[in-house]
Amino acid sequence: MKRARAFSKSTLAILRAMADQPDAERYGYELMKTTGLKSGTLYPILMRLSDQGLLEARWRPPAAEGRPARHAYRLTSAGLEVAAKSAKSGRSPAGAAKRSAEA
Amino acid sequence: MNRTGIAKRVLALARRIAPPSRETWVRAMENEASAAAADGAALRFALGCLLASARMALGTRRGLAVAGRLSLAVGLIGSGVAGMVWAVMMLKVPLAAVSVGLACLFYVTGGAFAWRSVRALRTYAVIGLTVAIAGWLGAVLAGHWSVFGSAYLAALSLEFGLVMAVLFAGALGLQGLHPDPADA
Repeated sequence: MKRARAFSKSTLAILRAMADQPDAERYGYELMKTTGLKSGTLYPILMRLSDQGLLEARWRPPAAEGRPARHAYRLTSAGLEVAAKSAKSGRSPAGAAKRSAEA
Repeated sequence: MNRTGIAKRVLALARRIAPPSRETWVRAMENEASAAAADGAALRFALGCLLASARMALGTRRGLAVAGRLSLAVGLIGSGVAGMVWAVMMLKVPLAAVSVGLACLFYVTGGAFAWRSVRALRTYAVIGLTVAIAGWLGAVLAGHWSVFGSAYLAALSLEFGLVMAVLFAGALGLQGLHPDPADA
């Protein structure tokens, strides 16, 4: 049987930061500043959360001419549920995330 | 080159090593770099992106294969050099004899296992032949005429044993890794 892995502190930091404003779309650099994580840590986690269906990502048009489009992130309902559970218990097993995504 | 220029190079490298299946995320990181640049943190951000790309690549079969081959190449060269030093220091095998044995082993096993692309194989072949000829000439000039003498065999068997050990360890390591089937 596969053991349910706990979320890392970094993942929990991202989940909590995003759950603080559940309706707001967040950008990568902004999340780096909020959580204090480096890009090398942040992006692999965002990808994993997206793969697990806990995060949705979409492209946002440039804010000003000459600037590139930005990838914006928001927790899905499953992601919000997992973030709420992790806030209660401290470190939530990833298995709970999977169950939430399947529900 | 200033820091922004270096950051651009680093981002380009990050794009090169990232698996194609993560193209959207690579573009997301590249585009976000302009926000980091506005804060003067472009290089730090880019280095993080490079690390993220490396982690992405290591999660794929292709990335694992490259990492495996690189490890194997480093292991082969390292063990060969270690064997060479040991043979010369401890067994008093002539340096020229060890060079020939080492060159032959690199030529045959290193070229075949470490890198599979045709171009790299050609390069390996040229380097291997050059070193082998240089080693053989050195052996001849040093007075060690007998190519199949005991000194050569001792050096060759020693290096062969070390290389086989590295190959075995590499094979075990690759067997134990679990690549992401989606990126196969």
